[in-house]
Amino acid sequence: MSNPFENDQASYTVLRNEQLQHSLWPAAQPVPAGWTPVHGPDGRQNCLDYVERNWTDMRPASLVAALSGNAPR
Amino acid sequence: MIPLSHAQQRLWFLGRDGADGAQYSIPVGLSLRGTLDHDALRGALADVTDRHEALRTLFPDDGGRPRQEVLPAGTAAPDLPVVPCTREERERLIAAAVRRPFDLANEIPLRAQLFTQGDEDHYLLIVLHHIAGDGRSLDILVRDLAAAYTARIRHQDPLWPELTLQYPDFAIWQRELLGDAADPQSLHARQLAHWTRTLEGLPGELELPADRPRPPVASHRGAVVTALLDPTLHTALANLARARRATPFMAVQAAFAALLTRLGAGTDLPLGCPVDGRDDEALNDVVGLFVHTLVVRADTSGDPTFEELLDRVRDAVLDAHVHQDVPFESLVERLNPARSPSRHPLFQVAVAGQRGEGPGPELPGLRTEVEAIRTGTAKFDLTLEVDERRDPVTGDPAGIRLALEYAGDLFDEATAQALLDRLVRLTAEALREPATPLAALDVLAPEERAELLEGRAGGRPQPQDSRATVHALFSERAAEHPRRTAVVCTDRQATYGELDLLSDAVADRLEDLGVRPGDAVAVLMERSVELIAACLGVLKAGAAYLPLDARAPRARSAAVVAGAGATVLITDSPQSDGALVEALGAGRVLRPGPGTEAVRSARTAARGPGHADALAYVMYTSGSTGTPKGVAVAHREVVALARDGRWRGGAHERVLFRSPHAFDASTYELWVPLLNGGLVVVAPPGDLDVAELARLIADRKVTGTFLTATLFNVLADAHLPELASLREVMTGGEAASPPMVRRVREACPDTTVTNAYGPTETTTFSATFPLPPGSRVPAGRIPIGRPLDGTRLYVLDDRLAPVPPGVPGELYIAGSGLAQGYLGRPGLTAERFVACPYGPAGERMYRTGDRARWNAAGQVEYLGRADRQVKIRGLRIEPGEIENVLAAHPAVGQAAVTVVSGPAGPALAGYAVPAEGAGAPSAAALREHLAAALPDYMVPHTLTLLDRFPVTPNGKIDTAALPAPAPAAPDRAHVAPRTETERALCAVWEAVLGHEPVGIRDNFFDLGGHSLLATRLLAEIRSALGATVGIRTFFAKPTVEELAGALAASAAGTPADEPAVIRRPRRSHPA
Repeated sequence: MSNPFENDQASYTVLRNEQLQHSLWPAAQPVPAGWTPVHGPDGRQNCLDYVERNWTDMRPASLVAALSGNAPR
Repeated sequence: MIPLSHAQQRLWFLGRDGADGAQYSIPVGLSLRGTLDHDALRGALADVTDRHEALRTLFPDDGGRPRQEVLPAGTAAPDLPVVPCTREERERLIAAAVRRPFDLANEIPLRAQLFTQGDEDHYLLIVLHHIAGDGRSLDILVRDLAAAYTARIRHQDPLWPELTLQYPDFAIWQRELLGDAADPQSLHARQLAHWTRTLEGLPGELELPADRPRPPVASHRGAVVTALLDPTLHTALANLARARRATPFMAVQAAFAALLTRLGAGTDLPLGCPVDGRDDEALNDVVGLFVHTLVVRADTSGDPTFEELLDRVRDAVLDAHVHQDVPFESLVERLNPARSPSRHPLFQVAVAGQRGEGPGPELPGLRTEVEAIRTGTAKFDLTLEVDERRDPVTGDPAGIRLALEYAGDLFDEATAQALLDRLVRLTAEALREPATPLAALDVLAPEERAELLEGRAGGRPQPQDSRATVHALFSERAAEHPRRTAVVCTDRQATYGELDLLSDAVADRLEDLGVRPGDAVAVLMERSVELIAACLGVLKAGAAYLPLDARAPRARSAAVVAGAGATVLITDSPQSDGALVEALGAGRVLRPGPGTEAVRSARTAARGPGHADALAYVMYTSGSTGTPKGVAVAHREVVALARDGRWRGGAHERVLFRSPHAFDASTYELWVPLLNGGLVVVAPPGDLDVAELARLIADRKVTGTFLTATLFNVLADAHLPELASLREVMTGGEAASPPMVRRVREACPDTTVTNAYGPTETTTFSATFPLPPGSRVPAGRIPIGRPLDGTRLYVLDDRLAPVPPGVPGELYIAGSGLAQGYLGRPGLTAERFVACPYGPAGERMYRTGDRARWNAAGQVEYLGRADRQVKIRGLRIEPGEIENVLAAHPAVGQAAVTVVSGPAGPALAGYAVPAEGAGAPSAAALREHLAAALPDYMVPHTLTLLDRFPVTPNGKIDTAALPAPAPAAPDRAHVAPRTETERALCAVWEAVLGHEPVGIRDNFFDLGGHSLLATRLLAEIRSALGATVGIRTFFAKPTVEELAGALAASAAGTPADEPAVIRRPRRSHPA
């Protein structure tokens, strides 16, 4: 059994949800609800490099909003 | 002398090796209602026996060489005992008759028995040994019997066309046709060469979704389940098959291959496929063993569409038919797969065409019905029988009856039925969309899919608002019962009120040192009241605690502190530590002493509860690459764990805090009791010895504790009375040892024994399998059970689709408990915490890297690390399974199995630590124990005894630090060979094993031998000594001494040698 996230030959995308969390994602798989592709299709390492560059605040967006005083809830 | 046909030779050899009688019996029952003439029936049996030489052939054995001895006609009619009995008695008698082995050297291979109930109800049982016939032969026999009976009743001779050929002619013809395998020009050699190419690199064993692991020796117990492809599906199947120039049977084969792939058997599927073998028309009416087995290698790789797969299967089947003359045994010998009495060589799954029972034969004055009788055996792991029905008038498809014969060693009836039902579903779907890739075909019923994805979620979680933080809930408890004891240590204790005040003071001092919400504060302290106050204080200051492992090298701790950006260190260590302090940058060190004043300051009231999504702690675990990664966990997840419904009921009111603080078991040990008003019993600082731990559990009346599997096993070994004082003992961290769990379950009648599972990334526990008092420990693996409240477990395949129950997949965890990620490692986080296709929109799931499956009882079983599974000589092996068996030996306390590189490629190395108080077991005793429970290829080549295992900082066995295995040493004193034969055998052993000197009592397997080497050894012995020994005989007697004895016993015995062909001039041969 090979894991679909561990194939260096396969094509991947980067997904992002409303919390601005990022996920590596096999390009061959349908995008789950609540996620938006923000990078790719691309090689695995390139996708991870994208994540490293762009996901700079790993706190959930709702927490960041709550702490900055304009909490939605 | 008439030789045996190749297929007969194989059956003769297998039967001689002590196989169960029923496995090679082909029975048929004839129900006869009306007036039966017993004498006519007896006479008809004699007529039929006279007509077919195969039915009156004996197989005497001249010094290991079997031959066919055809008894003269008129001398060999079978007896026909008449047994008056009821229908119920009959069933039992039939079963017994079918199981009675044949003595092929001395009795004819045909038996008959007549059961009668009154004058009108008769039942004729005919049992044919497979060596004398096949399924088709039974039809011929019954037809001829009816003709003879009809003639006898009329006092006539049966009118049947004379047979121009008999089975012995076929046997001789076959040997002539094939020629000598050693002659490269012979058909035999050419076909062998073809098969060698075709079957190169075949998997040694298919991984089937079985209920149980394979036993060391197959029992061949079996049973059958059935299903139906209805006429509509049959029509669609026939149409698709025609369009692809294939047969409906091939289409069923393709569908079965597709199903096996989807059930985790891989993409290279050797399927056994019996073929009729009656290529000459003159053989159509002859009783005899013509059927033989081909291997069809179904290739499902590259995710083909069903149409493409059908094309591939068609080509493979046609190709196999073109090269069908080579005997199966010859193929096995040439390909030389790793042999084992636990499974069939070359293939374990077969697909067979079956002709259903037609109308019964006509016997005057009788209503007849033919009944196929099941023998309760299984030749292979699975055999799919395909019985295609056609409308007798129109020839239209009338449905396909499917029967699945399954090995009872591996499968339960329900599992086999589910498998067959899945085949029907997959076939229907493949026919609806033949251009769909296999991986996209749904093998789950809609309700099953819903059950797997939604129905098995954990309980409804407690509602949580964003202010429900760890410290806020603790303070609520403290306000409710300030005087209740919260923590006891060896020499002091603290109430909830005191702990609240102490932690307020810590928070004040942290704020004074500049700690702000969102910061991380390192904590390097021994287990104590102060440690707990420090953690609460960090949380109250809005920060996350970063526990440091006191035993870790300081450089690693410094790297962790720097990586997490911690600016303050709380420590009780009196020396200031240069590297650590430096890592803090401009930060400071806080040393709370026991004298710290606990007074409520004005600032306490001003502090809010914080936010549930803020981080509560960061715990570093070692990554596979060596760089530690900080698992960042929010308050929400800790609170979810603490509020889980499974802690209710009092078992977790007094919880032992014994884990090193830097490991995530401490999350349970601290926050489950403290957020629920319970008591934390703090184990003394430092490493505890086991006896001390056991005493503490009993003395402090601990109710609940978590023990790593290693520690659990040690306590189960030596401290059962103390364990019995617990209300619940949980174990986890590694696969639970079934015998140890069973021992504790039995010895501790009032204690719930729970197998718990959870990576640090999902906040300590994700699933538990409790065995409450009075419950039975399941046979086989101990499941990890069902998820915690709000948590969901998914077992997914490599397309992230849920796999059916019983099928291994990778375990993913979603819902409550998921960490926020790895601190400061966005790439790594995005790789492991991935978008979840199943839960609420936008949710993530953690991929564990663990293999797991849902068992038939709806519990998850942990199968090991996905990256720990090893493949040796084409066989997939899970070291954990072997470890469990090894640990079950009474003299073994702990066991580990690793893979090392040996002279013959990768090899298994076993390690054992003797049980407390038990003497050190001998390697031979352990090997015998393993061989009794595991297939031979899973028995490690070396077994090394150690005083203790190296452990990782979190208490797991450190397999990487195990010593190199001791060279496989003979267990007994060296005994030099005494005879010429022994000397010659020793020389062969030394050459094959690369080990000398070999003593005559040394066990082949102790010297590093394995089944492949054994096969090579036996071949060498044959060429060097001209003597043959069966592999099973050798497995039972793997020493030079016993081998020499076996050779002497059958001095001239060379059963695998081809007896010389002797022409029988009185008959012509088929073209």
